Amino acid sequence: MSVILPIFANLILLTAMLGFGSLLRALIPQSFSRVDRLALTLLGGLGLLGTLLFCMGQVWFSRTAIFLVLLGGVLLALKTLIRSGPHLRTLVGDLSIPVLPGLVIGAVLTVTMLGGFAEPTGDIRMDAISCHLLSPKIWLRDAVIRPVIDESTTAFPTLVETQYSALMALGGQRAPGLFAAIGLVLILLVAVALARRSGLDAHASWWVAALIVTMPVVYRGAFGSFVDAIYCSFVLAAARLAFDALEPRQYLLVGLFSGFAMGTKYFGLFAGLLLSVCVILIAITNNQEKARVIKSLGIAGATAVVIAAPWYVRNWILLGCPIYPPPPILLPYFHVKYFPVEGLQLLLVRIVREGRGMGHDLFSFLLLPFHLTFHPANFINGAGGIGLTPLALSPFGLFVCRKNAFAMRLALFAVMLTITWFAIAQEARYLIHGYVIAAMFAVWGWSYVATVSPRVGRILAGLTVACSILYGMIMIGLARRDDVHAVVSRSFAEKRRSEEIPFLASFEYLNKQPSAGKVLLLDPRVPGYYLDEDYLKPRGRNGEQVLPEGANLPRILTELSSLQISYVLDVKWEGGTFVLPDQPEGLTLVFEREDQRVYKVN
Amino acid sequence: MDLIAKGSRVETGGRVRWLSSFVQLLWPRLIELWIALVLVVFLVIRILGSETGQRILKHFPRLHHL
Repeated sequence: MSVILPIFANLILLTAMLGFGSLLRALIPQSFSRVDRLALTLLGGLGLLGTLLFCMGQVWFSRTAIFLVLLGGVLLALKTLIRSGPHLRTLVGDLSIPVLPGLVIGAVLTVTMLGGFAEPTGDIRMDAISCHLLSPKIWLRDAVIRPVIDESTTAFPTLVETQYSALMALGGQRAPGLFAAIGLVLILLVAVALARRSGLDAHASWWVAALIVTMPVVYRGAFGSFVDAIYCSFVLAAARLAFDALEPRQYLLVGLFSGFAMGTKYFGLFAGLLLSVCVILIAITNNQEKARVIKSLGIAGATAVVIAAPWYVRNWILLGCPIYPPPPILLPYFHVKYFPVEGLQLLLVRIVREGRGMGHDLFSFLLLPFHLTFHPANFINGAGGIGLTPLALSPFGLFVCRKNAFAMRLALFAVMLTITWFAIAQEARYLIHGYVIAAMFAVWGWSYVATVSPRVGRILAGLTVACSILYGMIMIGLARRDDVHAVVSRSFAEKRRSEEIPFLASFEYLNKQPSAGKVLLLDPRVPGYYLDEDYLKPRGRNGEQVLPEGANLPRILTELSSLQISYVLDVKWEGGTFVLPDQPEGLTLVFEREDQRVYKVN
Repeated sequence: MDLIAKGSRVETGGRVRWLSSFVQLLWPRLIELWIALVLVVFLVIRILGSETGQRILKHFPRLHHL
């Protein structure tokens, strides 16, 4: 059952995506290829489903509500499949993948699916445990979508996390892990669609996909509940549409996908803005009519705002600021709740430190292609890198595509995205859209090199591609080794649980107790994800302040009954001490291990 | 092409053609050099410089400082 339910949940979600996406098919231009249409349908479906779940979840997020939404999507999909039955074979024919890139993609997807069945483990430093999986679990438990106050990162846009909730509702805690395979397929489809539009043939386009899927950094952004690959797919889909859009309804789609990107990550705001600048620059160079450009951008902008608004308005109403935790520039204009200014400053310092990469000066920018190729581990989540092809072959791809308008527009967009990323936060996985575009130019470059230097150049270029793919596959294999091992070996899975989940014994004890109120977690670094019951953490790990009186422990201990606290979990980290004295007043010790104590409130 | 090899300049209708001939000759070699450089640096930094690479190189005392 630990395998069947996650598969079932993901298949239902995929079908629902197809169903909701079919609502957009009328808006996709007829000139678009079948791969374009499939990628946009699935991605659009994912976006619509996530937005719908989020909006409904503000008032009703029970399992029944989720089932009803998914059922709607599945029925729409069935209707579409029945209607387009005869065309399905053509679509599959259009997707026929050449053997070698097919084997590479197949191998990575197999590892992803196998590893996806592993139970989530890890401490609060893992984004999945602290944020991406925590909020979906709590929303399901509370049957309503609300940010988790003690973990401010749960207030980030959550278009993908709402689907993790749906997956958990249908397939349990392991189901979101398997969703990584769907996320990967989506970004590969978008990449193939872009490559085909740029002029590469079907064979070469699938090599682009093979290069992308074996970039460890791209892969890092697609598994472990990270949403970066899907976010970048939305951005690239918006760009694909924007660079060919002519009619208002096409700009409506541009706005829709930009809105989905903004509903997935705050970075979507920058991406939307940069895409608008690109459209304006293209209009200027093509001497387009000013009024038409303004109208088109107006349609796209208004649609994006409507789609993304639920996340930002929710934050404004509940947390005092549309972007939460707020950047310093917004602090004078909004009254931010639950987060003291000192905590915000500490968080900002941490973000700046983590996003430092290899420097912010001009020299570092010029060396960026070398740094990303040869020293990727110096960027957060960059270990394994992006392969050799962007540095070795993309420059020639850019050269050969210099008169290819669509490719040049993509290049311009990638440069603007890279500059923004360089200036704001140099975390490797935030630039996946850039790597996708670079891989496309790399395949153009590969083909050019083989023409210009048919013997030595062809061999060297082939060697570069082979090195990139093999090295990437090894790195991906190493990254998923423990996940796959845990799936096939029960004893290893148990060992891993006990080693990687901090204070597991206490969580197991508390989860067995009959529900009778909340658990008070005294230490902010205790991961609440592993607790099935409701809990209260007075202070978050970033300094979030849940109670008005702050983390005043003596006062909290006097108010346990009014706070409906039944149990208190006190822990001791290595070299530290317990927070509570040995025999605290009003509490009875009911469970104890060397580094953890559970008290029952008298 | 032969004249270029001897270092001469050929002018046809006022246009200097030496540049395009130079590119034709040298451009493929530059491309090959660039790709080879990237491959070699990758080999040194990422393969030989990795922990596994260093472990293997320890068996070859003369090389392990790489």
